[in-house]
Amino acid sequence: MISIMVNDLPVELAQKATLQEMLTQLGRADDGTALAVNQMIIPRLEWPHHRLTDGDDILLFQAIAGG
Amino acid sequence: MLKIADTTFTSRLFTGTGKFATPDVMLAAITASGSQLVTLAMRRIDLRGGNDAILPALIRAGVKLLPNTSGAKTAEEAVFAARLAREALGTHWIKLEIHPDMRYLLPDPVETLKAAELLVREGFIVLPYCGADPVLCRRLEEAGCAAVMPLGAPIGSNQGLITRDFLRIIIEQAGIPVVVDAGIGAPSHALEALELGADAVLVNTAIAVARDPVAMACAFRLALDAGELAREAGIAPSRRDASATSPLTGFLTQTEGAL
Amino acid sequence: MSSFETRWHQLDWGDIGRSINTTTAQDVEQALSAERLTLRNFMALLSPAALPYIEPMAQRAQQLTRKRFGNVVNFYLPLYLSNLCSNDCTYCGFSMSNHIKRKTLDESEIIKECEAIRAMGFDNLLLVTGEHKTKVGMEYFRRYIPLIRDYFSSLMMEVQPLSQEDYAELKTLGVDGVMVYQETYHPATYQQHHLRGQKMDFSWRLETPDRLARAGIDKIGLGALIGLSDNWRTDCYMVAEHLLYLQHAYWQSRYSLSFPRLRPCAGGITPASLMNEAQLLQVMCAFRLLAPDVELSLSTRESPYFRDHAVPIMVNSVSAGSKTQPGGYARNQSELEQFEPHDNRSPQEVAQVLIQAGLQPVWKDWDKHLGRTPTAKASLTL
Repeated sequence: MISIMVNDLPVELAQKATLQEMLTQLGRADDGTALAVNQMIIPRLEWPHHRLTDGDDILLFQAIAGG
Repeated sequence: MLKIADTTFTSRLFTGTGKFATPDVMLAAITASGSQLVTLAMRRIDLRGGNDAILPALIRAGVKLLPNTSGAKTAEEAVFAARLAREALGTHWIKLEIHPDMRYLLPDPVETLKAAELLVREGFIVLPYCGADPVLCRRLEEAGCAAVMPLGAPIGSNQGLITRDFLRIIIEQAGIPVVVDAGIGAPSHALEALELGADAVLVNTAIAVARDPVAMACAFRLALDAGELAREAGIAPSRRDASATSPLTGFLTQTEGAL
Repeated sequence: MSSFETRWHQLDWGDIGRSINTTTAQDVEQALSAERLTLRNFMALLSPAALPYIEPMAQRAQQLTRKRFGNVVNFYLPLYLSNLCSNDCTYCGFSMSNHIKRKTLDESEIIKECEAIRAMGFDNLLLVTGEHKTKVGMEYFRRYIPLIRDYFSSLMMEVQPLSQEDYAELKTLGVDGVMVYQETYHPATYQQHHLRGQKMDFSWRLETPDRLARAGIDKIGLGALIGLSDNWRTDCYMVAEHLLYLQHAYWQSRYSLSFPRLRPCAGGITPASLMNEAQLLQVMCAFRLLAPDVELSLSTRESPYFRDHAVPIMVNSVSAGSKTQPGGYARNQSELEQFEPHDNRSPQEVAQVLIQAGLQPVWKDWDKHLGRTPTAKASLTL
């Protein structure tokens, strides 16, 4: 198991979990989302391939209402 | 017909999605307004909360999405937000807004110009929200922005075009479309913007917080139709009063050897 | 890189002439009441239909001039450094085919001229030369401009079109502005009158203001030689198109317009179209209405009577006491003249008349350090 932070919340994941798997686990694999791992934006195409490591800090964003 | 970058719009009304009571009302209002472009913000998802997603409905409505960089206080933050938005929505269009001023939400010209230059280089279609500063608008145009979005009045103030004299100059000098953004509180303000020669307006608060947002959206739509027609018809110039002074050209009839 | 030539190719000489000629009184009235004139409005003001409206045009032109320039009129003087020329232009006294005595000032002569000019009260100088790449080209300018620069607060040039690099270099030597008149925007006419030399190149000349602006030269002067083509109205319209194009593309530069009418000179030609004084006034007013911020200049080519009445209306830059031959200020030799000035009054005389008319002659309105030329002598202290 590895521990990561997602939007300041601790999340436990399986070893070598990918970003896509993490999103599915959290129920957030929606359109209109983007994320950064350790301040670096990861393109959507890479989500199924990008493996997370212990201590990774993830910021997850979505498009919401705004002017 | 309004063309910005590679996209043609038949409506000159752009709308914001913020401040509505419910997503349903927002969608109904946007539909009633006839708007073909809506703005969105990027925010961190609250993992403990529900899903704020309005995206699927907007995509079904067939409007063009224009994410903004609101929340950014520096050029760096704005660039980060823009890249996120591009990833999230698959669009290169970005409304650049940087307002560290929390009281009046006025845009920072220095950071905005800096961010615009960076974003244009990264291939974004940049629509910067800025003060009604003609020189700044020229610089933004030179930096490669696809349009400029000068404010009519501070965001949410509904004061109308208090910057109209400067908007006139910007409209006169701009080689790219001018979208008046912020401060439009009533349909008459939007109409005035079009009569001044603006290419489009962006309206959010005035529609979202009206007692009946859908009706207000219709009113704006009608105002913009009127504005478009008036422009095509050719607005009559207002006459200036000539102040009588002594004649200046009498000497011509007395010219010695006219040639 | 695009330049005015791109725009110029879109303009049709014949169509413009026809539009101007079919202007109605209604078009003129619409132009007069417009807050901000379009080129379409300007066309109406250039037309014969606008002449009856010259009084309201003049009133409005004066209003706009006062608003922008107050009561100030800048005085400048041309200094002809050389009448040597490798071009053959039918209308010019310096044409290489004219048998006149050629003179190029040397260092001591230049100094004498500068001192004489300063003694007359002038601080704004316009250097004029014929075109000669080797004898009066960049080498000559490099050698003498720094010397001349020290005598005057502002320095302009009216010489052959140069490259952008040359202009950038001239800027570092202290040149504040450059005048380059297209003469005519009608290529066939242009060819008829420019028979030999580099000046035959219409495009090179047409693109000169673009090169000037890109080189960062602060003030750029435009104009057509009125009467060279068979339709001066169309040529004036072209000047307006040129001005508006440049103002939009190079918005950080200042612009200046002159209105030289063909005058008699050695081996002179007959103008192909005639513009009388009323029409000259009309055109100058039209330009003032079109471009309230542009400098309008009236030289000594025009009569004292006309100048005295026209300057208070819309002119903000004049020359006086001009000599159009090299060495004319220290020593007068009329056989070397480019053209014969019509107003031969002294600068003080002209200034007095303008003062009576409520204007303020200004001799100095610039300073060397404003040209941002980092020479050894220049400093930022005032």
